[in-house]
Amino acid sequence: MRWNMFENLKDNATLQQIFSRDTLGHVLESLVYLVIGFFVIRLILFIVRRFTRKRVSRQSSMVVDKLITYTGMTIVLIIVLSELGVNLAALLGAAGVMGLAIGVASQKSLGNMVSGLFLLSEKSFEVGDVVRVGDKTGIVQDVDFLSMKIRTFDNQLVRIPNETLITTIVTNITRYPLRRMDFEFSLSYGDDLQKAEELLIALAQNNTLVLDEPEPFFLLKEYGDNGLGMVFGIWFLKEDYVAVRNSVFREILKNLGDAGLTIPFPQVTLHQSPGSGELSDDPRE
Amino acid sequence: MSLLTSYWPWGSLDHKDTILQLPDGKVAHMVREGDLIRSQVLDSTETGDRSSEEITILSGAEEIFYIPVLPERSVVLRSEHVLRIVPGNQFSTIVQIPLVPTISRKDRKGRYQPLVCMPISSLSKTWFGDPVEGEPAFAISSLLDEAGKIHDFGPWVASCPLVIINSSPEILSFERLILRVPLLSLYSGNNRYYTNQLTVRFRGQDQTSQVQIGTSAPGVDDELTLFSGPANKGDSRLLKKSFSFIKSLAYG
Repeated sequence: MRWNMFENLKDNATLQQIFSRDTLGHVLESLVYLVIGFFVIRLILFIVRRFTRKRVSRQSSMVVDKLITYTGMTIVLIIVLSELGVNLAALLGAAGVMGLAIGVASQKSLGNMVSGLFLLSEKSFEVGDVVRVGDKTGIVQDVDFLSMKIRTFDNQLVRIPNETLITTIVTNITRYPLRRMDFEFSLSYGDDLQKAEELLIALAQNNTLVLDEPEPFFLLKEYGDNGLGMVFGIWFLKEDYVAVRNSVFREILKNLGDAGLTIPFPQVTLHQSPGSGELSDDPRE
Repeated sequence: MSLLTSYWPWGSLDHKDTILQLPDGKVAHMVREGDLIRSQVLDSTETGDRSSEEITILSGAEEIFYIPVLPERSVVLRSEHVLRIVPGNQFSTIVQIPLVPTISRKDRKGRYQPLVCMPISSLSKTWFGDPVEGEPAFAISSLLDEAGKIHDFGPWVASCPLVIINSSPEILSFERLILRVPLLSLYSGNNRYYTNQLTVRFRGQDQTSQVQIGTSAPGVDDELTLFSGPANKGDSRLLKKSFSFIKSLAYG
């Protein structure tokens, strides 16, 4: 008869019966299998990581790691339970009934898992990318079956369920190596637009972080209430974002100021119609 | 304090305190104190502005050199005026690739190993190809004079003999060409630097152009010797489209 740990836990079983040599032997064996199983999983992970390190992306590597870990742990668990004498057939049978209950109770989680599979196959973002989801911007740390975790730039961890990602606009800021930065501002009516355009183009040419090509562009956008709206766009490598933004911002202000051009602030000009009398200084009137 | 000759600035750095000439009239100050080398670029000799100091540590007895190297990235060549090559014809020119001044040492195999690279302003950053699959590069523009008309070489450039052959049935309207500089060797002789000759065969806009890199010193001077080998051995993926016809991305 196959040894079964639970046989020793019958009513009125003595301590001697519960902790018999046989029982302890099987428990010890199970622990050994557990430990060996753990190290075998770690070894397989190590070998696979060495092999995939330079061949696949970080995200794919992470997915493979999780698959190996979960599969390995499941196999080890089955071996340990089997060693402890647990009737796996009965367990699986019970799991079938329980599965229905679990499925109903964990609809959201299942939805997240399915969404996670879709996200992984879509590859719209990967570990290491900078993404914006709603008002959260950060670096993708982990893409799991249930959620994605990002680390914000002020070092907070944000967990976003995959179901949310599937139904929300996700902006991958660093997918492409090149980005364009647009500076929108106004110039006062009456300022020399040609001069402004020449200054801005020269500014881009002299800034070592701004790419020659694609070429910077200058666009007159609108006749605004306070001045002429314009857009000045420059291209740069994504890793230079902060340096480019700060340097070009400063240089625009400086160069325009040095040339006598002004960026206007909102202001209202009052025109008094003739015959309306003088304006009173008393605010009550 | 020593100053290397104004015309040919390159050579061995034997002195402990040296002013190094850079392109664009700038200078760098190098001081050797035992195992330490301090180097600093003077941004402006008038205001005395200096870049941040770089410190390198190596054996006190080791010899160091002030030598040029080719840029680490490919260089995009743009023509300053319109150049058209009719089918079946070729055009020869010499492209002057700015050299990057470095303080270097020699490794066990006698190859120069840069320790400090000086910044140069004649190379600006650019992008070659479309914004998704292109590559970063440096940019230079050239008048693309015919080879025989170019005489001014100077110590700050490497002359790259370039031959463009139009083997397509259409007129080649030259806009820009990428020179795979990491694949080129540097040759020296008679106070000049040269690279291998490049022959580019244009086969049409939809086909990959063929690029041939000369395997020895260009035949422009018989006294050229190999100064330094290519930074990259070569990769078939690098020999992709050399020509690019980019339209302004703002206007489509």
